[in-house]
Amino acid sequence: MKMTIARFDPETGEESRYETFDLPELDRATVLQGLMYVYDNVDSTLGFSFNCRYKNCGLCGLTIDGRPHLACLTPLVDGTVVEPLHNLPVLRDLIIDRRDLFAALRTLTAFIPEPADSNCDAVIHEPAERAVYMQCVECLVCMASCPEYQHGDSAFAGPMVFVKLMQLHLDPRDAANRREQARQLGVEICLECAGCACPSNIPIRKGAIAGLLATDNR
Amino acid sequence: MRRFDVIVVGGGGAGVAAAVAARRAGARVALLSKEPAGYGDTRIAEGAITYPGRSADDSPEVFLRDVMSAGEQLCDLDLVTTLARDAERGVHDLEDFGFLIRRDADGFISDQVANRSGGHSIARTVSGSGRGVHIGVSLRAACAREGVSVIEDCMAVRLLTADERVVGVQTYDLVMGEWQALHARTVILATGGTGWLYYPHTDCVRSTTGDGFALALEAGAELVEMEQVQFLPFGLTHPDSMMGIFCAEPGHAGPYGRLLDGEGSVVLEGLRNLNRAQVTRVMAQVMKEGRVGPHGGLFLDLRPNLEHPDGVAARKTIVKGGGFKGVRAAYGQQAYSWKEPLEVLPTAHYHMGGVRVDVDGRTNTPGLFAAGAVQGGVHGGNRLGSVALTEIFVFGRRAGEAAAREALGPCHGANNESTPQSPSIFPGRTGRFRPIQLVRRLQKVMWEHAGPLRDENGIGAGLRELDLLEEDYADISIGPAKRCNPEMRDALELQLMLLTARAILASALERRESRGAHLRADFPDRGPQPYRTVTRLDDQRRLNVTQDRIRA
Ligand SMILES: Cc1cc2nc3c(=O)[nH]c(=O)nc-3n(C[C@H](O)[C@H](O)[C@H](O)COP(=O)(O)OP(=O)(O)OC[C@H]3O[C@@H](n4cnc5c(N)ncnc54)[C@H](O)[C@@H]3O)c2cc1C
Ligand code: SF4
Ligand code: SF4
Ligand code: FES
Repeated sequence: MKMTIARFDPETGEESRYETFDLPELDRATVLQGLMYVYDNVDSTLGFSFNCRYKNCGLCGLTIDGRPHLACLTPLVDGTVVEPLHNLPVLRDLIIDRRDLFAALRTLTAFIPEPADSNCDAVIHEPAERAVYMQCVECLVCMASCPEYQHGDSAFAGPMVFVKLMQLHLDPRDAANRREQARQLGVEICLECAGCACPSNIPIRKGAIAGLLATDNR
Repeated sequence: MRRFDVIVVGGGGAGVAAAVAARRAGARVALLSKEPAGYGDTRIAEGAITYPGRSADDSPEVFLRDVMSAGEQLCDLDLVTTLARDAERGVHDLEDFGFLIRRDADGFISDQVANRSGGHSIARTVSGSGRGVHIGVSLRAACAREGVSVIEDCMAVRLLTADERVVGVQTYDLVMGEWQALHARTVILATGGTGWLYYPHTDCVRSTTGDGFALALEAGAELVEMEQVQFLPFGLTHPDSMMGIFCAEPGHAGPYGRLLDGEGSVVLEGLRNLNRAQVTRVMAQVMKEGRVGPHGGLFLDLRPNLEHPDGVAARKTIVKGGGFKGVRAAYGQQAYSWKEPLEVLPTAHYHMGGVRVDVDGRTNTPGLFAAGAVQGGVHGGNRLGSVALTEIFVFGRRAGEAAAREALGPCHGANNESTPQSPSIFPGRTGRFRPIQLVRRLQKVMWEHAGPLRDENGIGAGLRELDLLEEDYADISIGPAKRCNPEMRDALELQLMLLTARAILASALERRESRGAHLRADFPDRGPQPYRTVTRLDDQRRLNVTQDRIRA
């Protein structure tokens, strides 16, 4: 079984090169397992990220045969080609730099209810619909699949941010106007688009983005 | 050189709770973490959290009794008393950070939304739709809001000491490849557990390499009960990529769930009412006798549930609550429907033992505190489900407050500077072994000799293997890259893993009885008098384990 991996060295700064590795047949192997095989047995200078091995941490997002997905959920087939997630800065090989993005979320106060005066004794009615958006593991796969998103572009925040805004829109504690915020962050661009991919099965375009674009008073 | 009042090592729940508390007490706080802040095991938790007092018949006393009786006489009464008293406040802190706990139809966190988690006598476990991920997001929010200086992708490699006092942390930036000495008046370890020492037999994240236990030992702090490693009884066994991933809790077995050996004979019934240690104990025995399935595991047989209405109803509730998620992917739809037995193996999940602390997280080394999974003493020989998340907020906050108080208090001696050692681990080092090869060897040693069932011969063999690994460690090679060099991370972690692994094996040798999660094939019974195992490094840097009496 063969697996081709994009390599990038920040110290030379040269364009990525592709390296192909031979792997034994593995029982229902995943792409993550393939990478770990290469790392353990062949080349431990290979840079890639993971933490939980199954679906929870959101750190293993990659471009696999041209499409973004979580490495721990994607079956490895002969000839698989893996590259880092597109649209994001690369630190080494398959590792992307997520620090700016987290900083941006902070500036946008897009991860906490505002004002934050939660309290366990408060009477709160959480809309049932919110649960589906809460499945976001911040894997950035949607950002990599979006034709409009570009790292560093402040006019269009990108799908993950919209999902976060929808979480907050549905958070009864949150007093900020998240629909207005979404419009300022370019969500109207999505009107023309069919939608983006999400390994956690969040309906990003039809649910989150539609909800932020709606004008009802929900 | 940068200066802070308090440095927190670890960006999971315990670390952030500590950092926020220290900030609120007025300290300048830095928080270090190997991944982004808000990750660690906290992020992959189911998000089930003990919130006592949901029903009228619950109280701190009842909660205390549950924790104490699970711990098989090894719990520290002062710590458990504090946990029980502060538990509600801990959960309040979590909501204050931004997490939202599920309410009942009237909008309250009442007994109607509480579950009875395994081993608890009362329903007091609550959760929220965002699970651990959203706890993690809330932790990042809290750091931002309180002005904690978050230093991500950065590893604490050694604690700096001067005149026997901890005065800072030597760090290595995993992205930029730079060394730094950070000074502070107090340091809090919140580095999480040891699951990754058992990879692939673990459901913990890759960063749980047990760094904090080794850092504490080297700084002169004592550890207790390092042999008490919790193995969840039911981890997945195949395919390889899913080995060790969480399968189910005993409480998920429904009223009729039972355990079969590899040949299909019943070895245990009434699973639902047993705690993790009780089930793992039986499994370890059967595995030792070799009565195992094709992947080395036993069979969790849930089929009998399908013959009874209450069993069918139980499945519905459990699956709806998120149980058995991994099962469908690993074993397919039939298994997920409970129509065929599931092959399961114990998997390392949590470390009950750890750094010896008082109720404010203070260790015996001046200037050093610890909180969360890295601290010892709370759970003794067995941790009840959903208490870990409560624990990290309770003790994280207390350690943060105490560390800030001490840091902002009167000066502690003149000498608080310490020169970092020049690192012997550096990019471009040549040698015979790649670090990951040694890491994998260590993990194999730990599973074989410090796993669910131990004996003197095995532990001795394990310790000798560690000696060899230490020799080989002197001969490792590291690629030349400065930035994001994964072999640097492996090598730096391995150095700490070797010491933590030794502490586990040495304590396992010293406890010549079976108690809690520690099972000895050669001492199958519980001894007459409970005692603590206390681990420290002596002047010659030799590991030394002694027994301590437990105050009644
Ligand atoms: C799959 C799974 C599900 C769970 N579900 C639940 C649940 O539902 N309820 C419950 O109560 N408990 C649960 N637990 C247990 C619970 O999640 C953990 O015990 C708890 O989150 C530990 O928190 P912590 O802050 O102590 O450590 P962690 O959250 O593990 O954080 C440790 C931090 O320390 C950092 N670190 C480690 N070493 C260094 C170093 N050398 N330098 C710098 N940083 C370092 C790491 O990067 C990380 O940020 C679960 C555990 C697992 C594995
Ligand atoms: S719907 Fe919007 S966010 Fe999603 S891919 Fe299209 S443009 Fe991008
Ligand atoms: S919305 Fe989906 S794809 Fe986007 S970051 Fe969240 S989990 Fe990943
Ligand atoms: S490794 Fe955590 S989501 Fe894939």
